[in-house]
Order: sequence, then structure tokens, then C-alpha cells
Amino acid sequence: MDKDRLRHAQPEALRMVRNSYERGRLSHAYIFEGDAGTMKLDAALFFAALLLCEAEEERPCGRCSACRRIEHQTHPNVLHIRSEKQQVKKESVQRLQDDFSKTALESGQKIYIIENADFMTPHAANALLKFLEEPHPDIHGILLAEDAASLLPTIRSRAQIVPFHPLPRATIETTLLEEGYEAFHARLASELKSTPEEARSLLSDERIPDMADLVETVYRALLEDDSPLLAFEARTRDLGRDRDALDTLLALFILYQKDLIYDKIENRNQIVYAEHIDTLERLAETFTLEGLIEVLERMLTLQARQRNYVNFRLAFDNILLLMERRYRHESD
Amino acid sequence: MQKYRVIFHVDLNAFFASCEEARDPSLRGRPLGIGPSSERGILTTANYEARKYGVNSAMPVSEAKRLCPELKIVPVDFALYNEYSETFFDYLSQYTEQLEPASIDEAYLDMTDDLEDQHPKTLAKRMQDELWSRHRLPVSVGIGPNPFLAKMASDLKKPFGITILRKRDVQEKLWPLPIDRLHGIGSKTVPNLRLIGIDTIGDLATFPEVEKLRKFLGNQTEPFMNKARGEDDRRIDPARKDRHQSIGKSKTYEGFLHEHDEMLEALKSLTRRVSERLKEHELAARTLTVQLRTSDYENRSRSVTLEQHTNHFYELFEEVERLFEELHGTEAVHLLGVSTSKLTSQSGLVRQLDIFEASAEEKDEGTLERVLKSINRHYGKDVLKRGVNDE
Amino acid sequence: MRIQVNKDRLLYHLLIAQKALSTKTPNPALQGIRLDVGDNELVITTSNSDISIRVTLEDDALEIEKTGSILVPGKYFIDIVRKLDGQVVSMTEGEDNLLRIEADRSDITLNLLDLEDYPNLQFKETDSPLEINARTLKSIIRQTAFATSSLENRPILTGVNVAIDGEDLKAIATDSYRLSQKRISLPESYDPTDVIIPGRSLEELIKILESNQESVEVHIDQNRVLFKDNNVLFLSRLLEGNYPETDKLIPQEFPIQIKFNKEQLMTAVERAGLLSSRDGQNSIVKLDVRQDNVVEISSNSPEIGRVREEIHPVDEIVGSPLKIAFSSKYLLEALRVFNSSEVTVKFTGEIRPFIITGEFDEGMLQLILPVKTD
Repeated sequence: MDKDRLRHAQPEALRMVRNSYERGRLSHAYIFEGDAGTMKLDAALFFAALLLCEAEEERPCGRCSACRRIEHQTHPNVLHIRSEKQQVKKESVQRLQDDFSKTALESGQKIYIIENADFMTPHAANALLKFLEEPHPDIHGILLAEDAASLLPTIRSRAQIVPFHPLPRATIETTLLEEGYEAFHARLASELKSTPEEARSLLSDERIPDMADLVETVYRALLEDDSPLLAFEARTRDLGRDRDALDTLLALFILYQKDLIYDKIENRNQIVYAEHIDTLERLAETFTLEGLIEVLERMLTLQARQRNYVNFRLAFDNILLLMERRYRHESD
Repeated sequence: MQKYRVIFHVDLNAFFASCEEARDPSLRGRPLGIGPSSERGILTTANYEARKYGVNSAMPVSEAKRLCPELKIVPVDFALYNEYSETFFDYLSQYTEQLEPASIDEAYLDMTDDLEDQHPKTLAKRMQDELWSRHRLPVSVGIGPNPFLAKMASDLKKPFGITILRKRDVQEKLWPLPIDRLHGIGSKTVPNLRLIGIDTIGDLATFPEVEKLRKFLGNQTEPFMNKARGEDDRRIDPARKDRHQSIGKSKTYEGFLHEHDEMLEALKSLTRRVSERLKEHELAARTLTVQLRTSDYENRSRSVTLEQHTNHFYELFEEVERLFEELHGTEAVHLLGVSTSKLTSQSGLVRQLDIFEASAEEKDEGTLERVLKSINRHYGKDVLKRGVNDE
Repeated sequence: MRIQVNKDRLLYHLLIAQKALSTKTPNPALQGIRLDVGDNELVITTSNSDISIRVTLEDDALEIEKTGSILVPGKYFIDIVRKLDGQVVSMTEGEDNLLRIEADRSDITLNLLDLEDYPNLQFKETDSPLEINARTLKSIIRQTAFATSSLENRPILTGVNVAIDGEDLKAIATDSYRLSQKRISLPESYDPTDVIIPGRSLEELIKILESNQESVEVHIDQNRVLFKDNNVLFLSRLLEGNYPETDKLIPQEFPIQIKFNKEQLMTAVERAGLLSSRDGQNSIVKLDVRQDNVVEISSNSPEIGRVREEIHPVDEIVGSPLKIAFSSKYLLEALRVFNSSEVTVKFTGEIRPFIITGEFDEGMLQLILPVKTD
């Protein structure tokens, strides 16, 4: 559990949880609602540590035996129900009931965490409901869900909903950097994706470095009086009609196009392709700001409506042709 | 001299489809399939009109639609079929005690002592006509000196067939048939038999090397050879009459049910009917199924195996309610059904008493039932009956 | 940590501790055996969270060079020790969380688990433990725990209710179809206590208790029960909640009483039960008290046939004729825990619970609910 990162990413959620703890008004159940990768599980473990930490002050301390075992997910008072195949079954909830029917192995409060609670089978949900109907003062549940609305209304009404917001870009970038990703890739992925999971998954695509390189090549073709369209075609033949790859590629083009604009308006600390600053500067000089914005708009339109395009590739080609004309200051 | 037996095999033709046509006559005369509406699903069965196009049971819906574009497909409704099945057996049981249900849609009747001087064919015709005119159920009847020949006979002409197969007809009518038509031969055995030159039932009847045959048919060698020769000394087992396959009740709601409470009330009434019927037949059930069809004509059903056999309304309804909660979301409902199976006769029925419930139970249904029972015992049958809210 | 220990002694104690070793658990730390080496003892700890065992070894079998604590992967460790040659095992905690095990010509290195993840087990003794001799304790467990429920839908019934009041100790178990109760008088008086101990815990406990007259200390507090048998500590969690009141469910007056030879009754019921077993359910037998002072045990199966056994009770039957049906399993299991060779079966009615007592089983009663045949 990276407390700093969590604090930075979900300040409001933590404040809600901490307030209810400090005022002694803990709810029997919470629903942590938010997208995958919004650190809901980390927050649930934070909550458990807040309750079980052995330190007197600055709880959770993160150093005591309880905190460390919660972090390792080996604390006997913290029961963690993971979902199998995107389902939470009745047996899992029964395991909880079985455990809670007995006295605690270690003293202190008990916390149960149900992952993907919005994927509980009706059986499981009903079993849980029975359980929530007879709350125990020392037992607190945290249901992690992407969409609280898909939980039974009777469960929702017995729980406090804590919203989790998408992570700030910088948090994702820092996470990736800490995990050892290259600065350029960390920046790139954090620009394109809204959670560390998605960002990691993007970077696990081996073609990403090639694609980033391709974008640069296509733009540089302009400087070398070559056709960007031909450069593009030559390098993307093997992508064929791989829609996901083309989507990613378009996103990379958009970043580059934005970089050109940032350079043009001298907002250079926003630039993603910082390694290519020379090329960027030479290109930006040639374009007019209007031309750059026009191309960007076309790109964004394509991105927004990509699913409507039967021939995505053709639309892509048209943008490259427009780019070439604007570079040469030709009119339509 | 031993008297010849007269065995009837009465077979409901295209049973599921016939039930649907009986319920909704507008379906009749047109190709009809029973199965899911999704293109990827598999047809359960088809009526004879559809079979003319080559549509068959176990065929993917998409293929059936290709063969017969105007094919109408209706969803499976087991509760309906159970009801018609009961009607069928009830009707037949007026002719003889010696009735053995072979499955949901066929029965053997030993008519030897119950012909009352009628020609078997005349009687068979009456059964066929009445089942059709009263209940719109088409049947084929096979008549023979034993169950096997009766069964083979009913298979020879469908639908609306009446066929007599005597011992002396065996060579002429049975032997030319391909071996896979022999009732009881497994589809995996057939290629093996063909391998040793047995293509027809006659080939089997006259096969000289019995030991060779034993390799494929094992201890069934003699029984099968006897059957191929038209011999079968199996008795009709009326005890099986009591082993109903299932008892159920369903109802469609044309204006749809919208309220959860309405649905529960409807289920309560269905369950009460099922409980009553089980008791009428002195049966208790171990498996309970709840079926529903949503207003979008999506069929759902769910079953549960009970801890012990029961026919008590309260015990059944408790499970019905639970199954229904699992099946139902928020949608409106077009059909509800409750059916029970794995039935056993009530005389073998035991209920383990529970120390914590023993006192509670005596208060509710138990007492009422006991009072009803004892009064009825006093005054003969059925003086008092539980008032049933029949829909 | 560095010690040398007699291999057989080590293995003997490991096998006791193994009873509480988890095989499947979401917490990998519980698959480990905790070894704590003190100045003159080796303490072995295991836990599957429901029960925990702590065994202390402190005799000449031990040579301690360096104290310390480690968590070894349980199953592997026991397998290795079992297969080692030689008399003495030497264990040395090495760098990088490794354990080196040497014996005879074997030299094995084992990766250790993270001790930090091990639960903080409360083997705390109370000030005034109950003292009870091992044989009595075992027989109380044997005579009650079998009647606990194996279903989890009423968790409380999976336990044995132990209530102490002054010098009176009462243990009760029921799965709601039968009930078993044992009362004993304690040599001393104790403060009132009422707990529910999981039946499964007790069944593990009797596996490791010696059957002798030595006394076992029972330390009970609100959250756990700790049994102390010399160098072995056995800790169990308790079931939460209030045990149902059962006294008023046990009939007090019995118009019909029959004394049987236990073996004869068991044999008759066993034979009848064989035939009537119904698709995996308990077999139902009928007991018919005839006018002629003969008891008939019978069962009927439409498919197989009918069995009828006649038994002559040991004494004159008290009361009127009666027919009652019940699950043979419940009667047989109840009869099996009697020490008496003659038992008295006491009835109140055809659909009322009946009880069994025995002359040499003071303080014990077994109660069975009949089945209702419609």
C-alpha cells in the first residue's frame, strides 16, 4: 500500500473514511465505487489498517505488525473475497459468515473486503444482505464496485457509498516511473490512459516503442520533403486493419500534434515527445497555428467518432494528406 | 393353451408440438418448432409439417430457418406438456388397470382382459378419435402380442397410425427394417453390427454366430435376438403408473403481471394446486421447478432438489419463493409455472422431525391437515376440502 | 537460530502439531510451522485459524547454540524430517531467509516463510483453569460431539455447548434431529461459564489427548478455549451467539419405557437399516412395541423387500403398545457411545422425541426425534 500515492489520488475518499473513524461513526458497510485502477483496494486496506494499527498516533503507522500484515494481506481479521471469473459466489460469502460465526483469532475489529461486489450472484447478494441485516458492532464490510447501481438496493441502502475518482495523470505517471518504466513511456501512457492498470496494459504491447517512433518518422517526412502518407503506408502495412493498433496510433499522433501546438505557443513544459524537441521546433515553425489546430481537430473528430468510420484507415490517410497540404500552406 | 396377450402401445405424436397446437390452434397446419428464439439455439422438436422440410429435433435454429424460412418457433413450456401428459394417462386409465407409462408421452396397456369382446382395432380407433376430438392430442397405436411388437407397430405409422403386428407378420414387416430401427439398440452398437454383416432386423434374427454377436451385445444378446424374432415376455408393470414423471401447473397472463406481489400471489395459487394434485395422487416430490416467461418471451427456469420428499404446500412454497427470487428481476411476466418431479408414493414418505420446529409445526398446517383428515375419515371421503383459490 | 535435536522426538512433536496445520488457506503464513528457540526450549506452533497447537520441547533431546524464531513451510518440513536418516537433526538459520537442515549425510536448504505474516496467537492461560482428567474429558467429547450439525446454515449447532455452574458441568450437542447431553460433577466449584466450542475442534483435540488419569487444564475466556495437556497447548476459537435453550425440549415424563440389551438392539437396527437405505438418505426403521412384550424392529423397501427382527426386552415393558419410526443412523450413533451393556429407551408418543439412558452412563442422555410417516 502506497499511502502517499493513495492520499494524492483519492484525497476525498480518504477524508470521508478518516472522518467517520475519528468521529466514531463507522458504518457497517461501505461501497467504494470507482473505475478499475482507482486504488479502491488500497483504500480498503488503508481503512483496515486505520482500525487495527497498533500505534497510538498517526494511524495507520505502516510499521507495526498489524499494518504490515494488512499490507501483505495476511492479517486474520481482514477477510478478502476475490472474485472468480468476474463472479462473486455464494460460497465466498458463506466463508465470511462461517468465519464471523466464531470468535476472533486476534482481538480487534474485523474487516471484510469484497472485490467486484457488483458481480455478486443473486445468491451471494442475498446471503450478504442477511448478514447486513444483523450488523455486528465489530465487523465492517467494504464492497468494491465499479457501479454501485448494480448492487441490490437493499444492500446499497445499508452501506455508505464512497466515490473514487479517476486518478490524476501525474499520479499514474509517478506510479509507472516508480515501477521502472522509461520516462517517455510513463508520460505517454499516462497521457493516453486513466488508470495505472490500463497504462501498464498499453505499455505491455511490444509495438508501442515502434509506433511512437513511427509517428516521429511520419512528421519528419514533411521536413525531408517526403510524403507523410507514403511514410505512413510503408510502415503500417503489417498493422492492416488492426483497429486497436490504429486507435493507439491515432492517440500517439494526437499527442504529437498537441506538442507542435505547445511548441508554437511556447508552452514547452507540456511537451510529451520531449526527446524530439529539435524536429518539433522545425516543424512548428513552418505550420501556422491555425493549420496545426485544424489538423488536431480533424484528428480529435476521428478519435471521437472512430466507431462510425467503416474505413478508419482511409479517414486516417485523409488527415495525413491535409497535414501535408497545411505544411505546404496549400489551400483546399 | 396359453392365451395370446393383447398389448397396446399408445404414442403421442410430436408431443411437444402437439401440445402447443392444442393450446393455440392457429399454430396447426403450419411448420412449427419448439426451442429458443435465438439463432444459435437448438430446436427441441418440430411438428410434422416442419419435418417435411427436413427440420428435425436437435437441429440448430439457424439451420432449421434456412430449410424452412416460414418456420414458427415457440419456446419450451414443460409445465404445459406435463399437464397434457396427465390428461393423456388419465384418459387411458379408464380402459384398464394394466397401464404402464413408458415416458411422458407413451404408454403400454395390457388389454388382454379388458377388451370386452371388441376388436382391438376398434378400441384403438376409439382411443385415437377421442384423444383427438376431446383433447386435440394425435396418437399412433401399435397392437401386438407383447410390448416389443406393440412398440414397433406404433413406430411403423405416424401420425394417426393404427398398426397391428402379429407374430406371423414379423418376417414380412419387421425383418426388412434396418437394424437401427430395432427398439433398444444403441446408436454406438449399430456400426459394429453392420461390420459383421447385420444390416436389417432379419439379419440379426437369423445370425448364425451367436458368440461373435456376444462381443457387441454382451448379456443382451439373447434378449435382442428374441426381439428380432418377435418374442418378448416382459409383463406390463402397472406399478409404474404411480411413478408419475412430474406434476405441475402453469398459467399465462395475457395482460402480463407487473407487480412482484401479484406474481407471488399467482405462484401461491399454482403451488397450492400442485400440492393438491400431489395429494390426490398420494405422491410426494423431491424436485421442484419454477418456470417463468418474461414479457419479452424470454424463458427461464430453475430447479432445486429438496432435502426430503414433500407435498406440503408450505414446504413447497418456501422453495418456490426462493427460486422465484433468483429467477426474477424487475421485468413483467407473461407465464409462471410450478412443477414437481422425482415423485414417490406417499406411503413411503417420511419426514424427519426437527426438535426446534416440532412445536412450531404442530400449530400451522399440521393441525389443520390432521383435523381435515380425521373428519374425513369419520364421514367417508372428501366431506371437507381445503378451499382453494383457483386463480 | 541454530539447534541440534533428536530426530524422533522432533518428528513426534511435529506430528502432534500437524493436526492444526492448514493445507488450504487464503493465508500462506498458516501453511507454515512456527519454530521458536528459547534459551532451553524449542516451541512448535501451528494454526489453521480455527484451532492452533503449541508444543514445547525442553529436554535432553535438545542442544541449543543460538536462539531465534523462524517460519518453515509446514508440509515440506515434516516430509523432510520424516525421511531423514540418523539420530540427530541440526538446523541452522542462514542468510537470505534460508534454513539449512543437516542429518547424517543429508544437507538440505529450505526457503523460509515470512515470520512477520504469522498471526499473533493468544495462548494465554487464565487464573483459575478448570481441571479435569484426560479420560473424562475425552469421553465427554466422544459422547456429545458426534451429534453436532455438519451444516453451516445454523453455525451455532456445529458446536458443543459447555455450561459450568458451580460443580456442575453440562455439555450439549444437537443437529436438531437428535440431541446428546452429558452432565458431570466437578470436584471443585467454578464460576459460571457458558461457551460453544466448535465440534470439529473437539474432534481434533481427542486425537492428541492421551487417555489417562492425568489432568488437563481447561482455560476458558470469552473468545477462546485453551486446553493444556503437559507440554501441549490446544487453542480453539468459540462459536458466537447464544445456544438455544434445550432443557424444555427434553420430555420429562415417559409413559413407555423399555430396557434393551444394547448389542441386541444395535444388531437388529443395523440389519433393518441395511435394507431400507433410500437413495442416499438415512434409512428409516420402525419400532413396534407389541402387546406380547416383544419389540419388533422392521423396515420396508418396495424395491428390495421387508426385514423384521424381534427383540425380547430385558425387563417387562412399562406402558402401552406403540409404533414409532426413526432414522437408524441416529439410533446407532447414539447407542455406540454408551458404556452400559443395557440401555433404557423411553418414549412419550409416536411423533415425540424419545430418549435413551444407561445405568453405567450416569449423567448422559441421548435424545432422538422420530420421523413422521404419513
